[in-house]
Amino acid sequence: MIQYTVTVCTVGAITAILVLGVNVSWGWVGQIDLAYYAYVAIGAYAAMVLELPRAHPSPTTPNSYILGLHWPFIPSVLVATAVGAAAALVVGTIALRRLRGDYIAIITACTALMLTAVTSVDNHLLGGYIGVYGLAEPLNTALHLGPTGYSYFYLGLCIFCLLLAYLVLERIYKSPFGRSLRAVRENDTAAAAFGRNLFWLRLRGYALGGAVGAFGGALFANYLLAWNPASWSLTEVTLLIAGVVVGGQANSRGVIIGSVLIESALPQISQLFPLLTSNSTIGPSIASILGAGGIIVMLRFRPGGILRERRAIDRTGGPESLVPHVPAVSFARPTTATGVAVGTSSEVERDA
Amino acid sequence: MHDGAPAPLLEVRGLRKHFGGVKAVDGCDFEVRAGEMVGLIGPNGAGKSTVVELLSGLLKPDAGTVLFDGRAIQGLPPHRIFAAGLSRCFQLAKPWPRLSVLENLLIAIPPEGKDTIWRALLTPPSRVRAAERAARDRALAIAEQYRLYPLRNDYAYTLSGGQRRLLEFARIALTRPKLALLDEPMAGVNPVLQVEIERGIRNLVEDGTTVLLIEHNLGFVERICDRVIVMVEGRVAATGSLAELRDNPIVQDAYLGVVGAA
Repeated sequence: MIQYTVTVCTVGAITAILVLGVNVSWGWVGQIDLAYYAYVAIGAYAAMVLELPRAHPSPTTPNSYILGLHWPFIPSVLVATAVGAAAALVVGTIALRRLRGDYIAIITACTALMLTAVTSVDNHLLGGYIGVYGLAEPLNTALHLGPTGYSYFYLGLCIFCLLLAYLVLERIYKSPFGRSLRAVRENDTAAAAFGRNLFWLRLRGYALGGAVGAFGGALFANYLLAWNPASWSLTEVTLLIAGVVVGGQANSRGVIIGSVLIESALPQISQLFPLLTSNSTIGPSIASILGAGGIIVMLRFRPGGILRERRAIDRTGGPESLVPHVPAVSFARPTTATGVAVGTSSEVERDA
Repeated sequence: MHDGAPAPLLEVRGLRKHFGGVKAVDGCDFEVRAGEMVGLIGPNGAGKSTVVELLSGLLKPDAGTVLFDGRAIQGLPPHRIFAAGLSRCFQLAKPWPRLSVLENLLIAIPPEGKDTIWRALLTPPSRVRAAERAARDRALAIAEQYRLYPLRNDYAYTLSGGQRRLLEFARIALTRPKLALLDEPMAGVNPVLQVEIERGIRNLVEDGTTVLLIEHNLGFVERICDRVIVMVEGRVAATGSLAELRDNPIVQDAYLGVVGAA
């Protein structure tokens, strides 16, 4: 039972990282990215082929993979993250030229489907439909932990990575860059009129999302010790988007809560109702059903999500009663020849 | 107040923009000198707003040149034109609705290349805080000047139409532009806020901004503008002070008369 909980928590932490990435492109920039899971897969594959030793295809196992550099864990994950960002830059350069949201959704969906098709069919690129597998537990050559100890260690590692991703993204969100992205989301025409290069900002936001996705994917592959095309599909993206909608668009804490709720907690709770989960049709799809249901319910009753996006607040100004809330002019007051109101408050006199 | 004739800040030559068969702007020529406050008037459909869109880069002209501060800016993307020192407000105010008024103002402060991911990650926290405080102080000072201080923590979508206008002005004031294009700033604004907005425009001019103002309220134009440009059917029909132009038959026919050109 404890081992099961550790598994659920590890996958939950990785999923939360993935949802943070979706939140960048969808919550911050406001573009629907259906290729997101492709970046997760790219990160996963990249980490695998960097860490695995060279492939030895034989007549019985004809599939093989590129590279096989036998790199250690940490540089592999870092490079996999960069590869994800680079892939997102390439796709984004095509998808974000036209600024319409539906155009982006179509291009990204096509990208995801194309990548699935290519990786499934070509046996020599990334192992075809069987995928890549046989990775040794990362870092355990040095740690020498038993299966239970190692699972705790990896859970800790994933939680640490989640925290790291959260802190890094919060910092970016609050920076001028994050603010520019939100301006683009809220009104791109006005953002352009105030000096924002829409394409370049969107592209950088998109690449950041891709990098986070690839980072999570690399962690995921290192947890599963294998990766194949069946591990990623458009359904997964929908579930991640559900995490963002339920948790609260553009609120990092909110989307972590949403992800835990939709992808970990509710499916586990649903296990308590065997009638539901033992049903051969409903059972395997319970997470998708809950995710889709969550999107509908939240959009209807609380479109901002569980935790709404926080706005920058100024508390330095002292009590608001010091400043009159209504403009300090009224219909009754006389105006000067230039049309400037003659006010009575000190503020008006100071400004006039 | 600005006599002598140095090179104009804005020089528009042969500007043209057709939408299918509609000749919205059709060979428009005019200039605006630094420090001037110029009104752009004309009947509905004369092409005034299209000129603003063309000048600010949101539309690309079919033909013609726009020299701004000695540089050709026609056809450049909006952010490059903004960087050159030309800001505009929108006929329909465009705040960033789900951000606070304060954030709206902070975004208006020109980023000057500081809004990058690497800067966000690598700048030491103390310097981030200092920069943020400086930006905030500047934004709040402008907020106070434009009567938005009490609203600074509200979402921009909660503002009334007139308050949104004030926010537009405050944003433009923060950009400290060389030239501000104001597209019907008085439209749909109640008389109390009209006074505020007039004051806002005067504030801009006092801060050294040249203003090109589109406005239908001729009394206001006469009060505030040094000179007006009259546009009719995509072309400049006349320029001069409004007092002179009131007697001009073209202007009377097209604009001041009962029958519009449209």
